Amino acid sequence: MKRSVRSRRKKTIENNLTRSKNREESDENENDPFSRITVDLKKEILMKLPAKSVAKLAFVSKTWASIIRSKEFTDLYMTRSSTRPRLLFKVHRHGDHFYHSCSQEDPSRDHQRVKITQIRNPIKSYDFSPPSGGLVCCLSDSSKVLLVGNPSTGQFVPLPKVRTRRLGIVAFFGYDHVSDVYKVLCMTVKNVKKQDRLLVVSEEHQVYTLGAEKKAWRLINCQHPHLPPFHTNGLCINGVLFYYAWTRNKGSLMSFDLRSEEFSVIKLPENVRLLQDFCSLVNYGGKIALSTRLYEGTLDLCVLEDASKQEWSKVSVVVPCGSDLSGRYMFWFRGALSTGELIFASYSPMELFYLLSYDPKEDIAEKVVIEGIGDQFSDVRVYHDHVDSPLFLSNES
Amino acid sequence: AFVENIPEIYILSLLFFSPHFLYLLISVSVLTMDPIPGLSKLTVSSSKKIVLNCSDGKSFEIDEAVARKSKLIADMIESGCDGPIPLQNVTGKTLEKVIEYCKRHVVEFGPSDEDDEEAAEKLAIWDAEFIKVDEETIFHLILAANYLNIEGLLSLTCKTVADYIKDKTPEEVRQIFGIENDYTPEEEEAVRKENVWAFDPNQ
Repeated sequence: MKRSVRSRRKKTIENNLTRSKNREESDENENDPFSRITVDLKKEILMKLPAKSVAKLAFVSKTWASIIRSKEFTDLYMTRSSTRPRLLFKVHRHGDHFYHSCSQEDPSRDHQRVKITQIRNPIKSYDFSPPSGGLVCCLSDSSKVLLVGNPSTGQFVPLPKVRTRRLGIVAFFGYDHVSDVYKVLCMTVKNVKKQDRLLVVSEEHQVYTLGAEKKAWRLINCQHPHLPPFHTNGLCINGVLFYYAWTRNKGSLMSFDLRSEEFSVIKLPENVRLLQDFCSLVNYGGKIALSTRLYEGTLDLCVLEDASKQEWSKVSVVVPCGSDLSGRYMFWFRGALSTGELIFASYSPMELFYLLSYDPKEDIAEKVVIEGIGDQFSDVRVYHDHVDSPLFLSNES
Repeated sequence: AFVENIPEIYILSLLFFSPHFLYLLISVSVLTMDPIPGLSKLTVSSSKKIVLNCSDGKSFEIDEAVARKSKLIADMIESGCDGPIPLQNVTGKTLEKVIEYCKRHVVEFGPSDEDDEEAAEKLAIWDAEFIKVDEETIFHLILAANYLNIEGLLSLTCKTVADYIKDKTPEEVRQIFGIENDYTPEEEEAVRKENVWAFDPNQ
């Protein structure tokens, strides 16, 4: 078996490794060194691969699959990955969806791209959640199908059908690192005529836990009547899901604790007029914040300092960016990195895609061009602090 | 150490004062084959040699500083090992390459702050040339670096193998490493159907 494999080896060696002339003769005398490479050394090699490559190598053999998919290896890989966070770009172009990522520390390095092969419908629209714990959730607006996927490998698996007869579904996704679980929170909305809208609240709240023994949605109680707008994105920070919703016709911030599965309502700060269309949820150094778009070089934020006491602080940042940086595009605040840098992105298609990065310590704003994403036909969403994960998703339905 | 070397400095300072002395010094240098007698003591902190014996009988004598790149050897020296060190798991051919790496990576005077980035770049270029060897040698180097506990070499060799297999399909990786495919044809087909994302050549 080994000899025939070796002769095939000759055809597949590439030029960047030079061949030694005495190869065949030296093989006679020495043991095949690869057979002496221990499991630990194989892991060392695997640790140096991007998540996409690692996940593919599980298909080399069952032995490799058992190494790669073991909890031990995945945890080891994720621990190292989280020290090298990545910028994640979700791109939609002519019905094709793909994820592009690069090193956050140096966005010119380490570009990876995966196509989402399951989703290839130019007519339907899909909502993708922000990444949490390396995974994302996707909801198709015209069906009750929810998918969970890995934006590093491109694998997406469908979840069982949501327990409802209605079509109006809102879903949120989050990862809790303490209990090490991924959960999807889903709720439905009765479709009513516009004038009756004030009476509508979300119902049939249910949770799906990834990898749980019982692959089913669990209905849960919600004590606070609220209505999240369709297509609204939640944001998960430290195991708590936050999303915007109307409670008694007032805009509020909802929070859902992934561990306790409890809802709570957080009142928005009083004298700030924030309309849902002009504000988004962002992660501001580990705290949830509501932000407006960058308007004439000023960014206004309401940062939630204490959820239990419902205390907010107001932050105003002046970004030295003239029209040479922003051009004719409107930039939205996407979040603060752990380094303190503020990242801004535009939602309009751009001919050459770029981000704005502002360092408050140095008071310098600069363009960060990301090659190969986007053109005037592409819709690009930007996420930060994404962790490259080789996690393999087993069948959930 | 600087105090002990004052006599040599004193000799050097005389160069500036006496052309006759310079002539004397040069002749002494030619006779002793030492550029400036005693100068070598200023530059080399320790010239203690360590002997390494390989599994195939070859022997290598290297500077202690170079040998200490291996944590295994460094520990042996710390625990008082004085004589030749036997390395049963490494052949002469591999050890020669390992020593080449250690010699280049030994820190002689310590990098100065200005030279850091440039020196690091030069080192990276040297590493890239050093690791251009056939895959069997790389695997031998991985095993040697692991056994001898040389962190930098282990990292370099593993990264090289990783880069090589990064974009290969599972089938190609099997061929490179001579791994037997223990999926049955039916299992393989089922796996491929379910996991198009992993087998799509456009990914």
